Amino acid sequence: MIQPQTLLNVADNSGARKLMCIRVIGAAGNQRYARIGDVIVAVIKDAVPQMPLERSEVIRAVIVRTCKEFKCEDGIIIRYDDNAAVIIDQKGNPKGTRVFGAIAEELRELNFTKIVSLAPEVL
Amino acid sequence: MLPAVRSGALGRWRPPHHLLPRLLSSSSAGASPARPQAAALLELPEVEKVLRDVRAGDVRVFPVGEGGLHGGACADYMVVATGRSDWHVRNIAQALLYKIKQKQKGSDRILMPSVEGQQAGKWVVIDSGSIIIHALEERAREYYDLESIWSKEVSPNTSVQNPLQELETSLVKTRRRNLSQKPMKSL
Repeated sequence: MIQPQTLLNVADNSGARKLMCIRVIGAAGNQRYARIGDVIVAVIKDAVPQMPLERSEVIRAVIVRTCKEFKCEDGIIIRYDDNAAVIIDQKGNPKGTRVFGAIAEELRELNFTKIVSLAPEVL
Repeated sequence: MLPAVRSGALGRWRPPHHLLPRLLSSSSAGASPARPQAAALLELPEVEKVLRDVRAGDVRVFPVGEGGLHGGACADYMVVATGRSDWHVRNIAQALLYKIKQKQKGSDRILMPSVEGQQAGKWVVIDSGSIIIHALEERAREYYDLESIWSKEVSPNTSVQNPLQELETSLVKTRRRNLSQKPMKSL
């Protein structure tokens, strides 16, 4: 359940450390929360020094892990310890070259195969 | 306590999920409906032939099936090819899609794989079930360096050996070199 003002970790080596969600893309009309596989607009709150991305930059990101339970089609329920996102550009290419931590297999069905193929572990 | 419970639950859930394809393949051919369809979409020799025809450079195939990357959950093979420009990368993807269409011409309905990044053209992924084909532009290929992920993950023997070597080197005491510019104090 990611909504504007939620702080997220970054699960790639793009250089950002913390993001704050400022908009959920596709959330029209009444309030909707973002879940795994949704794209958000976020602002970088904390970044590694001497990297291309800087603090207070506005970027797009895909959510890959949520503390809120995520129900797979086969009945498995996955819940992670943190809220994490991977930074992408407007065309859907990941900004970083490596993804850290476990990634849900559903991202592949949601057309984020690039992120899945960079990930070390797929649940 | 929670992570322990969760890992326990996953451990219990995983085996049936992983054993299913193996059991099916051993009992009788064509028992599972999903596998033959995915295999029929494209086969490895065909992919290689198409890539050779469109002159994709530096084609490499990584077997990431059983026990490989992601424990075989993702796909059986990863194919990486390089295109000279955005146009070329897009044309590689188009050629593969055309081949899939040609193959299923007689059938009632045509199954198409999911294609990603067709507009951008820097990195196009064709996900046809058991084979995932990545067509990258030269600079993008250098940037993402996909080979190093998969060649590392695929061979588990080296990853086992490396910690042992590290252990040996860590036990051996080495004297640190004196890099300071100060002259030695005479005793």
